[in-house]
Amino acid sequence: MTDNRVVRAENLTIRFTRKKMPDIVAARSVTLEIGEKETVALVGESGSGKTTMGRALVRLLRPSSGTLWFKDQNVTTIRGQSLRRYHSKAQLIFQDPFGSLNPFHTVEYHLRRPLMKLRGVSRRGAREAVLDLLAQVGLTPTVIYRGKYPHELSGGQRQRVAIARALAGEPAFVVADEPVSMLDVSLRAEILTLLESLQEQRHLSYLYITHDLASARYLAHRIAVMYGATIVEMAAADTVVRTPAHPYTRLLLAASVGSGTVALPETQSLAPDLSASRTGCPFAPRCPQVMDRCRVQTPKLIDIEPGHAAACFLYHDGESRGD
Amino acid sequence: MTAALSIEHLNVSYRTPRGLVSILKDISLTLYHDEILGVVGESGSGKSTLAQAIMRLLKPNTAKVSGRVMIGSKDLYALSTKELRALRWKDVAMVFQSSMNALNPVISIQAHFFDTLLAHRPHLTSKEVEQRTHYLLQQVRLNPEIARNYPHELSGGMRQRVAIALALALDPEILIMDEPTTALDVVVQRSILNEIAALQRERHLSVVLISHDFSLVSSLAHRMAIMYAGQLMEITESSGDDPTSVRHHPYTEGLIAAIPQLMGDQVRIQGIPGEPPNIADLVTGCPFNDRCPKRLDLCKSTPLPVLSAKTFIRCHAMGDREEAHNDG
Repeated sequence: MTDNRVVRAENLTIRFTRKKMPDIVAARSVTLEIGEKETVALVGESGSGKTTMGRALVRLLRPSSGTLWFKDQNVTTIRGQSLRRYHSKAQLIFQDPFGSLNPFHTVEYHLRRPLMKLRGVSRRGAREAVLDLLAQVGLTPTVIYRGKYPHELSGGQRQRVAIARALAGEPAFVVADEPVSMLDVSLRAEILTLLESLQEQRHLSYLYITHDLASARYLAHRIAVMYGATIVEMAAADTVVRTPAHPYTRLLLAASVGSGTVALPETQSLAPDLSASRTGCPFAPRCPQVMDRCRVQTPKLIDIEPGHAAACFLYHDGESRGD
Repeated sequence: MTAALSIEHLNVSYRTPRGLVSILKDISLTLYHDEILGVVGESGSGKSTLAQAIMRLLKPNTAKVSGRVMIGSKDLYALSTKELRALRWKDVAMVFQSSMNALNPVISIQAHFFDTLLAHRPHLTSKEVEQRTHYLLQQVRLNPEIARNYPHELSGGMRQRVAIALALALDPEILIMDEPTTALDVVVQRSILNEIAALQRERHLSVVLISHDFSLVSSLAHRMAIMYAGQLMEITESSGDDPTSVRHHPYTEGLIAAIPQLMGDQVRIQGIPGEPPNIADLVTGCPFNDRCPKRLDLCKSTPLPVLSAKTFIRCHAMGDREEAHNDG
């Protein structure tokens, strides 16, 4: 891992309370760090807690427990001015470019607001800055796009506006929550390569949230696989795809197009238990290699080899790797 | 191979306040018995319109349709409403995009099967319908107990399986599936696709599988039809997991280069420059010409030849029509 970490979540837990119903723990003691100019992909199915984690890392959600560090600053519970300052450093790109832009406002309005609110740019200065941002995300000629409304733009162009908006505060860290899954295939590549080149130019750190292992492997340096509110495996992107350790990662991989596998290694398809009272491994009910202890004890995320961590009893106590 | 369904010179235009907008242009294609034909296209390419046109679901006051859709010796567009009603679902059934939301929330799963089965086979007894429901739910690997449940009590994947079971209710030979797994998680998606492949083999169904996801369709279909801006660009044998094993249209090649591969050592992905054209103002030539790396001078103005062989590629730059796999 890197010494020059930008964001570090330590045992971060996010708990949602519900009326007359048991609480939901959407992230359970998650530890994750992202280095400078590093992309970490958070991969998992819907309901695994990956979006919740993303929102907590940019402090749109307040963690229930644990600590969130941005460089040397503890940002777990900050509010008011300091939270606003953090928001200029940590930004979010949403999945749905059709829902995340206000249909009543122009592109310029969307970009001017973060410029003025987060960076204190004057209204006059914002005009120039808007054009600059549009050029950076490839919406040229910029003077034409400045005055357009969201409905006049295609999905790919809208997502570029959303990216420009995220860049307006000059962030160091950007959470991209499924930024291409609503786009057409031929446009996805352009957005992914845009994210790559922006990372290079602006020294950005990314948390790339996706359900698609192939694009995670393409964009990310490391992949963290999330299941049932916990990270079950984390390693270099290539390692996760080529030598997956956790049974859930293997299932996910087998289900992905291009893996060459047909049979799915699972015993039944149940959604994981997200209640606070859960015991044992969240994947135990579906796991073909389940052992007795998996149902009572929760495996910790430990290094099974340098830089490759998995939370699975198959790798505890020096037990051999099961296949 | 005999044809299960053949589409001949199908044209669809939508009626808009600014006049007719042509959506599907001269589509001719044949679905053979016992095959999965994948139809791939981006949003706005007309693939869902194609599915609706095949089922004659487009209303005459919103869309103008010409051409023929033949099932056996019957032209769907020449049938009376009554004949059409008898044929739909019995001969051709459809699984809609997000059909998991198409289930009626206020009636049980069992009641859906009563509706479908009794509409076509009114003589069935309650007992027979229940037995049939039991059998169908087992076919899509659901616990038959869930027949008593209501749609909201089931997960998205389970509802999608119910929708597939409903489509199979009357033993159709032809199944049209419009993005059957798009809203589902990767693992659920794969298990449903495995199910579809197994059912197709078992029942020798003829399936049209419509999706925006090239690699997904490629892993399942026998042949692939690629649509762009309302036109059929190619039909090729499916290349399975190795998309480079088959010669493709430049647009399809662009699509393949844009998809990150899970395995393999691909270093870069590359998008297709530009945006899909506005379907309301297209050039007379190839609709892909302005984004195409292989374009020739004639591409912009020379219409693409209409081909209807088993496999073909419609591209001026890839040689004339004889050279395209026009092998019938």
